Formats: sequence, C-alpha cells, structure tokens
Amino acid sequence: MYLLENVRLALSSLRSNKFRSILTMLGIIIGISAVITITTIGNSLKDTFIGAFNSMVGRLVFTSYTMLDDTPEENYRRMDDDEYITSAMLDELEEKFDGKYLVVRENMVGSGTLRKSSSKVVNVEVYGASEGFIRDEKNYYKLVEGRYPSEEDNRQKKHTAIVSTIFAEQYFGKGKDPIGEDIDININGVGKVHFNIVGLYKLSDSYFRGSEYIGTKQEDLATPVFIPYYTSTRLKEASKDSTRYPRYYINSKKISSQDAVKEIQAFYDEKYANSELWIPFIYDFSDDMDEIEMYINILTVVLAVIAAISLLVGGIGVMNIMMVSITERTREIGIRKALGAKNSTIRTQFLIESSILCLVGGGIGVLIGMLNGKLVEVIGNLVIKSNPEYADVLSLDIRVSVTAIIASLIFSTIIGVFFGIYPAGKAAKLDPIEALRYE
Amino acid sequence: MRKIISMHNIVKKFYIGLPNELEILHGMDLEINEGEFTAIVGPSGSGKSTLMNIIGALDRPTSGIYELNGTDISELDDSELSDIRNKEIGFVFQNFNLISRTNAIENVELPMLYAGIGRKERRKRAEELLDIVGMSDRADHNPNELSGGQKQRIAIARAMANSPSILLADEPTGALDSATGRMVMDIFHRLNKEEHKTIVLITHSNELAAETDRILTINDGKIVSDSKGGGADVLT
Repeated sequence: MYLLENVRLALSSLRSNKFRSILTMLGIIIGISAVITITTIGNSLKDTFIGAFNSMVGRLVFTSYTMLDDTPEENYRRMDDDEYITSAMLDELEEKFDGKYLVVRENMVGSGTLRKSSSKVVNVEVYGASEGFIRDEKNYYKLVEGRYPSEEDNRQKKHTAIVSTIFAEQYFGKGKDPIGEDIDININGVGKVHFNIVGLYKLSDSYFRGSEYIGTKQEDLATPVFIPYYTSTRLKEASKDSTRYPRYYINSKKISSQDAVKEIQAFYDEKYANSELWIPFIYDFSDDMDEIEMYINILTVVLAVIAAISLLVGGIGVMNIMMVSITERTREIGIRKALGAKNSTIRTQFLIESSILCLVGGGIGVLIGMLNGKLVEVIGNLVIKSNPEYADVLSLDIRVSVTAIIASLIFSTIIGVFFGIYPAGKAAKLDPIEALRYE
Repeated sequence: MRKIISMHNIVKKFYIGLPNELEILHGMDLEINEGEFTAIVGPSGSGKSTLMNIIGALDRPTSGIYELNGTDISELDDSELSDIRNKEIGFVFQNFNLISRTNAIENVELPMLYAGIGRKERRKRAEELLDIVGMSDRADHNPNELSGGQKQRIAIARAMANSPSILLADEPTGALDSATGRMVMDIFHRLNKEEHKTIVLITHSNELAAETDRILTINDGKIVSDSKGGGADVLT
C-alpha cells in the first residue's frame, strides 16, 4: 500500500543528501562494479577461448591406434604396415557418411612455373588437397569466388584448380576474373600440366606471418594452387604414411565432435573386427576444452566472490549512515507516529530507504562494470590487432552477462534489507512522545 | 449530549518501581462532550502535557479508564493506539511539526495515507481541507517556504484529514505573533461552530482560554476548577 510512496520518499531523501548518498553508496558501487567486471571478462574470455578452440580444432576428429584390451602381454608387438588405415578405407568412409565427415588429405606435388610472357614467369606451389583440407584450413584460405574442387572432381581425377587472388593478379592482371580460365603449369619433376580454374581464394594475413614470406614482394610470391587430391596422386604418388593418422573435418555444424568420434569409431570397429592386436582409436579435444572451461569458471567465481566481500563492507557503511539518518529524523518519526503511522509502517519506510540506497548503488555499479568490460574489449582488441597471427582465430567480444546483472541487483537489494533491519527496527521502536520532543 | 472523552480515575506514574518513582496525574476524572471547545490551562509542571499525551493516545495511563468516542483505549497495544491516533485524534502542535522536504498538500495527505485511503480520494480531500484553511494557493510549497501562520494552517488542515473525533491543540499560537495567532484561533472557532468539531486547546494563556466554552484548570495533577468560558456566552 505504501510501497510507491515509500520509494518516492526514499528517492527524495537520497536526492536531498546527494553527496552523502554517493559516499554511502560507494562501497556498493565498487563491489558491484568489480563483480560485474570480473564476471563479464571471465565469461568473454571463456567465449573467446572456446571460439578460438572451435575454429582451430573444434571441428576436427583425430586418429591414433590402441591395442585391444584383452591382449595378453606376451603378444605385444609393434604395428605392421598393413595394420594402418588405408587410403581406400578413407574413400569408403567418406562415401559411407556422404560428405558428413571429410578426410583432411594433402599431397605436395611440387613447385611450378607459368610463363606469362616471354620475359615474365609466375611461380606457384601445387598441392593436392581434399575438400576437407581446404575447409579445415579456412583460416588461411578463404574462398571468395567459385567453388572448392568437389568430391566428383576428386574421384574423376579432373584437372580443376583453385588459385589465390594474388596469383590471379600476377598472372591475369588486376580486375580480371580468372574463373573458367585455363592455365598450364610447368611442375618440377612432373612436366607441363593443364588445369581449369574453378575457384578463387584469398590468403589471410596470418598466412604471411610465416617468416619465409617476410620481405618478399607480392608480385614475386609463390602462392599455392590446390588441385583435387586424387588428381595429384596420379601426378605424384603420396608418401606411404600420409594416410596413417588421418584427421576428419566435421562438415556440419549440427554434429558435435563427440558424435563424430562415436560414428567414425564404429566404422573402424567394424573394419577391424578381425584384428588381433591394433585397432584405430578416434578422439577429439572436447574433454580438454571442457576442462579449460571449468578452470575459467572456477577462477571467475572465486574472483567474483572475493569482490563480493567488498559488498559486505559497503553494507556496513549503509547501516552506519542509516543510523545517522534515523537520529537526524527522530522528530519526523515522532510526527509520523502521532499521525497514525504504525511501528511496522516506519520499519518498512526505512527498510525501503536502505534497499533503494543499495539498489541505486548497485545500478551505478553495474553501469561502471559494463563500462570496464567495454574498456577491456577495446584494449584487448587493440592488442590482438597488433599481433595479426592471432587475429584470425582470436577476437574479444565482451558481452555482459544478464544473469550477473540481475544477480547483482538482487544481491545489493538483499544487502540493503539486511543492513537496514537493525536501523529500521530502532526507528520503529522509538517512543512517539520522546521522538516528538527531540530537538 | 454525547460524551467524546470520558476519563475515570486516571493515574499516570513514571519510573515505576524505581526509587525516583513519580506520580504526575493523581486519579483524574474528566468528561468532554461532543462539539465542546475546551481549554485546559495550568502552570508548567502541572501535568498538562502528560494529560495531553494520554488524551492524544500517545501514552497509556498507569491506571484508570479512558474511553475515547466509546472505545476504552487504556489497554490497547501500540498498533491499535496508532489507529486511534490516525482516525480519532487531530494533533496541532506549537511548533507545527510539518514534515520537511514534503510539500503542503502531501503533509495534509499523510494521515489519509496511513489510513489506507486511495491516492485520488486523498488528493481531493486534501484540496478541500486546504481550501477550508485558506491555503489552496500554497499546496505545492514546502514547509520551509511558508510563514509560521501558514504552517499552522497547513497543520490544522492535516489534523482534520481523517475527520477525527477531537482536535487536540497544544499551544497552537505559542510560536506565532498576535495577529497570526488570532487568525489561527478564528479558524478553530469556525471549525467548532460550523463543523461542530470537538476541540481541546492546551494553553497557559488565560486570555485564549477565555474565548472557549469551558475552562479546565489543572494544578499538581488534579483538575482544580471547571468553569464556563467567555466563548460559551458569546457563541450560544
């Protein structure tokens, strides 16, 4: 019934003593802003780590080998060459899952040259690459036009290629569209090979941080030309062990790496059903990530709790000033009682006043905390930008946690109520006659 | 005539059970009728203030029966006494006792707020009351922007807010010059005559007491005289 009146009264009493109110709220402001700053930075750091992790290995599943559990010790031996995963198995796997999992395959064919005119030669590096490889390495190679060499290109060993924008400029000149153009590359140890350009990619800044490129003028750079993997193995055989520890790229956002591990493991379990000793073991890094996430969470909570202790100090400050305020307003309390205010009415009035004091302090604290978060974001991103090798995988995106804001506001109100109980009780119990006589 | 105040054998002691136990009122009997304008006079230390606190339900008698408008309030608890003060008593103090930082009309609304009356109704009634005391044009002013006479008129409007059974005025002109004091007294007379308000005026000025219907003189915790005032003749 009196809630609105009491809130209005509390605000007007805050306003009439602005400086004192702010000094009183300072403890709460500092405490809440520290809590908000810490949780914001903690959460954002977690997001940043997870984001960076996902863009690096989060979409990948790896292979190793393990001995069967029930192997007697006397049977232990090293793996035979024919026990490793074969290229044919990988083809079967890709086919079975219909493009859901792409095997990351790469085969260096060699460096090559293209003769642009009688005097001008353009250098390239020719790689056989599966679609999985290019997708996995998307931080370096960003498709800007056309398409990746497809599985069909791969199976039919087509002479398609995707080239860099730098190459396109070196060979065709600025502003020319290279898609659909034919090129002849003179590959070391292979000879002249004809390719049709189907896609154009852009090399990221981080690619050029590799020391071998530093100081090379852009027109002299030898950039990669990617051709389908099986086209490349016909030109130059892949090394024998290049398929032994395959990585798999999960080509769908909907599939978690844990599910991918299960499905791929099941595929190999079937393939190796008759194995005597060694079988492939498929794994991902999600467990490690969960662990990192947990550590960041613990750190955030511990720091936030330490910051929250300062709220206790703030609360004691609020209690102190409420005692002063009640003494100052003894006469007012007497008048209110003479006019019919019950003890409970007076108690409510001062409880609301101390709660509002803390709530307003909490609100200011939240704003300052958000500002701090923004500041960290700006500074953090400046630091990241000055280190471009991280810029592609790391970006600091500060988001204030709504839960933290709501929790802070509720917590500061609780502090207000808790530290208001004693002063408000004292006010409520004042004898009206004594209070009216108070000068 | 209906009795508004009926006191029987009221005793008030302080420091009960202590060596310095003090009896201020020694078995006082008092009846005040509805519509009466009564003055209570007496020197300092006579027990006037103690009597006023008991009449105003700010304090309980140590023994005796006090019926206010038919309710025995000697045995009520704090919360019930608050209700009695809110609905049955209208206080007018010597030093006005308006709440600072709260404007005139909000001061007048305060008893109605505590009575649980809705916002709109409160505002309407407060405007009427300010009109009665001639302070409509000062509704938005804070007490520190008002003169003593104006403050006292606001205080009277506030005292009237819940149409109490009695107006209890404790030296209402004590802090005012004679001209504004006169004006305040005129308001009391008007409320008494036109609205038939029962008014108890506590004063040590025989001059003011003489204007009322009935003069009770207190000395040493006892009523020593109960006489008709000049007002009784003038007004009837």
